[in-house]
Amino acid sequence: MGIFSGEKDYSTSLKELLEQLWEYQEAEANLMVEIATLQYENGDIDDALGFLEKSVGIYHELGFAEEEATILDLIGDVYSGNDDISNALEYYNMSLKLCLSLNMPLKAEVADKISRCEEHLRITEDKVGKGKIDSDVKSDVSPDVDEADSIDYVNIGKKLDDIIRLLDESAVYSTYQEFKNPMVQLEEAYEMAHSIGDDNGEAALLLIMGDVSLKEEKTKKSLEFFKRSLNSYRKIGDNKGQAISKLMIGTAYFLLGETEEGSDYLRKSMDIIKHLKDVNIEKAALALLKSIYGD
Amino acid sequence: MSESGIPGLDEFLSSSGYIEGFPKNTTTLIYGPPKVGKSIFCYQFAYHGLSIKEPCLYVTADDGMKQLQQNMIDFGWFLQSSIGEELLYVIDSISSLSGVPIENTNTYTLSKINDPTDLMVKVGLGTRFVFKKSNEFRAVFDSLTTPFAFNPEPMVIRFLKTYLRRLKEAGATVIVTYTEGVADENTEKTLKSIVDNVIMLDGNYMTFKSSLGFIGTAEYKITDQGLVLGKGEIL
Repeated sequence: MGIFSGEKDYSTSLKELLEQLWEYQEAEANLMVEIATLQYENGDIDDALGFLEKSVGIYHELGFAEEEATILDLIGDVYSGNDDISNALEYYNMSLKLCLSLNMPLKAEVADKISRCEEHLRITEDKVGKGKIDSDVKSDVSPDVDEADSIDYVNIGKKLDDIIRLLDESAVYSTYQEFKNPMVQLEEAYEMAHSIGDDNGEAALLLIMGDVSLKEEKTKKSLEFFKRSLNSYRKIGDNKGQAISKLMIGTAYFLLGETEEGSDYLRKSMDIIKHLKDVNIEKAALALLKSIYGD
Repeated sequence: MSESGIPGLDEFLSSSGYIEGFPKNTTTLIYGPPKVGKSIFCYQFAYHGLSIKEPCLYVTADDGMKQLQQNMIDFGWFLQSSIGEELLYVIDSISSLSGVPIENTNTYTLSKINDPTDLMVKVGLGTRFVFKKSNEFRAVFDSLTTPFAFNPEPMVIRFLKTYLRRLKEAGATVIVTYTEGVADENTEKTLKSIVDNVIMLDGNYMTFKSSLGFIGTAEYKITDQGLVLGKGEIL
């Protein structure tokens, strides 16, 4: 009896400990997803993917298939958001497989994403094929035509700097770009502005963080900063700030190849600029437009 | 304790038995009407620290760097050697308003009084600089009057709270000055509540209140040696 009761204690204790371990592991996986979310919002895509992959591993080990499917779908979203459609497709497919086996409501959404990815890949392949033919034709006619397609981030960046400096608050923050780690300095300043309720500073810093990201060719990240800056300027009712943010958003869209959206923002910005009656800003905006449209 | 550099003050504070001289690593608000010696207190406090090789982070918000140096020279306090030894780090938040281009140096940086975020960033850089010299240093902010004139009062209070917290955490003995009547009455109450000590100057008497319970008042005079304390009593 003594031995039997001892075994019972052992199995109970073991069960309790294992349950605790699983709880810890689940919490760890949840934390990893939270960390990944923060990193993604900060533009640290590789680190975010690393944590998401780790969390998938934990959920798989724990047998939490629903969570595994959700995170696989999330990884697909991260890849998709960064235009890595083939990897996105791979993860969506893994997620769909689990969704179907568990009959999860998520399956419809994932299936839809898969068809969009497939469509995107099909169009890209078509374009590549067509581009190849075009380029073959062009190379026969004029060997220099391809040169015009490259984006001059440096030149556009300089024009953006000129415009940003026209905002009173931005001039001083622009000098942070000369520091060792400008983005770290700018983020620190942004946190500071936020904590002391300096709305003007906050909006200007977002604009400059967008500018810095753009120069680093992180166009999507820069677009996010510019949009947040626009919201901040709207909140404080600063027309000049709104005009400049829209100019930046338009430029970023252009650089991403979304010309229609880009034109729309640039037009809206110019509408505001006309009413500002500020010759300097008008000149700087026109110089930017000239470099975007390559006129 | 920290040697204040004000003749008679440290002895007066010590005589109470509550505190031992000017309390080190605390925050002190010096307030009162205009022209009662608030800035002179700052010059004296900073200069004395420099003379015993205690670095100082000095935010000048009323006078530019040149004027600050001139004001101190009037009392025979020369800053050049301390600047040369990089013991004094000045953040000049007023000169940029004049539009005259001035160059930053290792120990002198410009900021803008209507840009509290930049000012705080520069305070961060300055703190790191002086902290490297010594983890016991002085910090002077003269004065809050100008920030109140250029920014919303709640923002200045939030700025000040952050400023005081950061400097105190870094080990500084901090003094800030403020001209009575510039901000709203409630803001003034808040100002007095977020510091460890308050010193009220009225032109004749200096009243010191410490959060440790000490209250004392003493006569003072503005002489060519700066402020000099006379007779005082513990209240």
